[in-house]
Amino acid sequence: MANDSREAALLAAGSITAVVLTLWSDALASLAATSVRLDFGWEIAGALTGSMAVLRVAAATPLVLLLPGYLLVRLLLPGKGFSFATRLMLSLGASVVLTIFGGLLLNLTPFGLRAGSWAALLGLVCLAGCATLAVRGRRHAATPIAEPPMSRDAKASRAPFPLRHAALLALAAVVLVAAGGVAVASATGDAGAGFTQLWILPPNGSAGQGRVRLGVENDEGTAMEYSLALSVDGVPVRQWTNFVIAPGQTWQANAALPNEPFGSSQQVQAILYRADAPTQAYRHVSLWVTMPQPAPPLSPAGPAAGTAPIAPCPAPARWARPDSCGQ
Amino acid sequence: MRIDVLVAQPTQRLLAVVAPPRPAGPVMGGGAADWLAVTAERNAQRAAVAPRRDAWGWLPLLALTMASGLLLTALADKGGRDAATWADPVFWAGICLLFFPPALRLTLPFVARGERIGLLVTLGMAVYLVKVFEHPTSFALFDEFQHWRTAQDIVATGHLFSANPLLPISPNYPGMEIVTTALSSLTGLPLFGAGVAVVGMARLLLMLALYLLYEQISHSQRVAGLATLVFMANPLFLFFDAQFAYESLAMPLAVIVFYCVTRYSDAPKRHRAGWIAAVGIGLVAVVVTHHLTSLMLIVLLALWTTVVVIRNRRGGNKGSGRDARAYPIVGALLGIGIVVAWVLYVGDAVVAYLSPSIVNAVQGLAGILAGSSAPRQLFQDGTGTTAPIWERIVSFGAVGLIVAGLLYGWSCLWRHHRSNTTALALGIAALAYPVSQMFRLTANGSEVASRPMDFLFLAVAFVLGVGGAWLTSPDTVRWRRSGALASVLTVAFVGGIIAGAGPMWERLPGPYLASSDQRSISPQGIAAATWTYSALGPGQRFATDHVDQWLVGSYGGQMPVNVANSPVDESYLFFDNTFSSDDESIVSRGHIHYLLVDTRFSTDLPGIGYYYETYEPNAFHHTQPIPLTALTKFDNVQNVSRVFDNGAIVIYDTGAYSNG
Repeated sequence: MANDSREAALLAAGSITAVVLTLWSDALASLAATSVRLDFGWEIAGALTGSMAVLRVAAATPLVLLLPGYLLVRLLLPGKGFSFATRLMLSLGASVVLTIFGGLLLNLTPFGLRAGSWAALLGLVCLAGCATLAVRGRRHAATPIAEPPMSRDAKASRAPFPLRHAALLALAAVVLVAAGGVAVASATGDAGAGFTQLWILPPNGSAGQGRVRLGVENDEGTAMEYSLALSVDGVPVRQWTNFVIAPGQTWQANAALPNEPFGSSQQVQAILYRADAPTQAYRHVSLWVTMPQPAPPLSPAGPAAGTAPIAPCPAPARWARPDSCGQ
Repeated sequence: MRIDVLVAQPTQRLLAVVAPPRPAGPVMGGGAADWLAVTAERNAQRAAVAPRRDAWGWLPLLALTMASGLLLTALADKGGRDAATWADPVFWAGICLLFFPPALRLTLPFVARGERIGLLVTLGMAVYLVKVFEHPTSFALFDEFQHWRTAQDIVATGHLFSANPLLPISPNYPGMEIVTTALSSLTGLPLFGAGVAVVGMARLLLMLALYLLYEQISHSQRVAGLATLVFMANPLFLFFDAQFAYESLAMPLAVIVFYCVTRYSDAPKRHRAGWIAAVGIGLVAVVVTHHLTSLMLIVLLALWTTVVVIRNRRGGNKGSGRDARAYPIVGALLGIGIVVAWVLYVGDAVVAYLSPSIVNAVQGLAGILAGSSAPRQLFQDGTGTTAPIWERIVSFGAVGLIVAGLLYGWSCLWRHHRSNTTALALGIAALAYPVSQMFRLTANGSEVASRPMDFLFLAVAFVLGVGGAWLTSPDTVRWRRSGALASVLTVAFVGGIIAGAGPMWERLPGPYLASSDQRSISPQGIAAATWTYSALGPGQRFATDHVDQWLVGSYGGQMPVNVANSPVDESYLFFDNTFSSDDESIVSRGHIHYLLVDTRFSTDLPGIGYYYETYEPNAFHHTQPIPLTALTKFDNVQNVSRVFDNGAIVIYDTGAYSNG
């Protein structure tokens, strides 16, 4: 059972590597985020984070889906002479089971189900399994279990791998990658007809009372020129003409409303026009506001007092939770 | 001398070595000992010809055909997005190219075990990729959004059991989400990527577990291979079992537990502790992952226990001794205990969740049998479009072939397998298949009929595998017969897809359709849902349609109001031309802060038969789209603000009426 000790050492090294890579990547990601704020070192940290991502996936995936279960099966069901298929199934299944147990356990702790707590827990489980395997290997070193006789399939599998098989498998891989490429290309290229989003919102907090927030997002797939008209109870109060928004970008503004008696209720309406159809309302929104107190007067012309263009935001990844960029 | 005689002679010599005259066949004959003796003898004889054979066999070549089938389905997806008429035929061509060649190979007798397993695993993964390639960049199926929300909540809070408005029961069964969020946290993959990896791993597990279970029960590689192949004809296999939902992980875990019980039953005493521990922890994982799967597993173990008890009382196992030692009751009792403990721990929501569907289905079936209600119109979607005639023929044909195969398989099982209580239990469970098909005729019974289909097919596939193995046994092997069997299996596979995936518009991606599940997911809907998160913040109470609920609940992190999680039926808000006091009451009692209206409902009928809720006015009987004046009546309501407009989606703020 010296093999057990060697295997345990190897698996322990793998587990430690996975944990270290995970924690290091997390730290680098935090550094990258911090660097943006400090405006220094972002590129270095970002590049490191990017290069670590592949390694992290390669190392952490077995830590979740394979290693814990493999060790559990080695310890729980030793020396049964399982086939590769049986051992693979039991190892993957046991890893899933252990991860589920781990999640239930972490839920009871204040640390919760976070990257750090997962890395610590699964790392400890794997190291404990490796240690047990090594100790058991030493204790049973004198009575090695005989290997089961090699099956016909096993004999055949150790035969040289024919070149034609390698060629066919390589070709299959190429076709598979092509299929994946077609799938991704058609899915990402399926943006459908373009559209524009218009919104109107009350101010954030009491500091902006007497104002409204307006936003336009261009998802037409091409740069667009718009005009926006703002009215209160049907009376025009403000207009933004011929402003251009690049595709995927957002335009936002804060607009002050005219003074009205305290407590009066008004309907503020915004109508968006496209430059190529300047008389046809393209989008329209409205907001009922109750005037709490007098607001600053509107400037009669020129750039609107209180209009605050916001920096453009990239569109969020489809599967990611949207962030609060632009708001 | 004729050439065919020259060819036949070595073949006959080979057959004489590999298959002695009239052996017991692919499955157990008079008893385990007899069968094992025959098997050992055969293996020894086959070993003599082993050096001539290649363990990889046809796997590399068939991997290429499967990849080519996948390429065709991916091209069909692209065609579907472009609304091309050739998309559907190309899809089916790809499916047939994917399935038929490996099916043909697996019906042949002299295939090495490694090649069999390799073919099954490769085929299972390829079928999984058909689904992944349809939507390779984001979740798209109904259940996926529900479980994505649960996973998002785990990531956001770091803890389990947060309320999920899309599927309130989901957080109580967080097994799959735990594994997914663990993988996502440790690898840095987004939840979508981690989910695809976890479900892919679950598919790999399912293929291995099914083969090894069937092999363990039948002690026959051919039965195991064929049964696993037949399992793929399960209507849920292509899409439902491949989606990011709790059944996708629970099913393979349940099969592994079943496998461990069979190993435990067969194991010598000194090895039993390990197997029973594996059964115990496996059961906990199944129970924590999915309610229905754990219940079905317990039912199956209880059925097996009953068969063992009956046979032991009748003395039917005196000869073999194997099943006299079988203790599936340990697994069944453990399972019951764990289910009860878990239900007590998380609450009894599962009863409230499952019972209405079952009661409605039983009442519906009783009504049809009594003649008081009409059966559901099969093969017709909510717009009244009927499936092509060939699809109906193939779908009915698949069910007919399976039922006929069950009769033959049952006769083989009874003749050669009746001393094997596990096989008998699966045979009895398979009898529920024809009964389950009757529920498809009821209005709400389709779900009841399809949800336990995985477990029914676990049994059906075994019986058909036994029958198929006898049909193509080594003594009678003929290419023609194997070809016919592979063709029948392909028809069953295609029929399963038609029955499970629904109308054509559900099988392929394509342009927007109103209220048609994944076909209703549009960039406008996603953009609006994403905007709600960034502009309004998460956790707002929204009333919206069936599909946009998924989007605002997942992309938006909002709390969609529906009949499952609130005391009101919000659908009544959207059909009248005026905002009445009843509408005010719905908004108020449901604490509805925002309405998200899809104005495209004014031009199209709902593909699934309803826009908002199954109990909405004219549900499943809509003949006209909703008037635009009804959808946009809120424009003219005092103190209701139209805060968002992107052409297709409009969002209204009803906070003034919601008290919320």
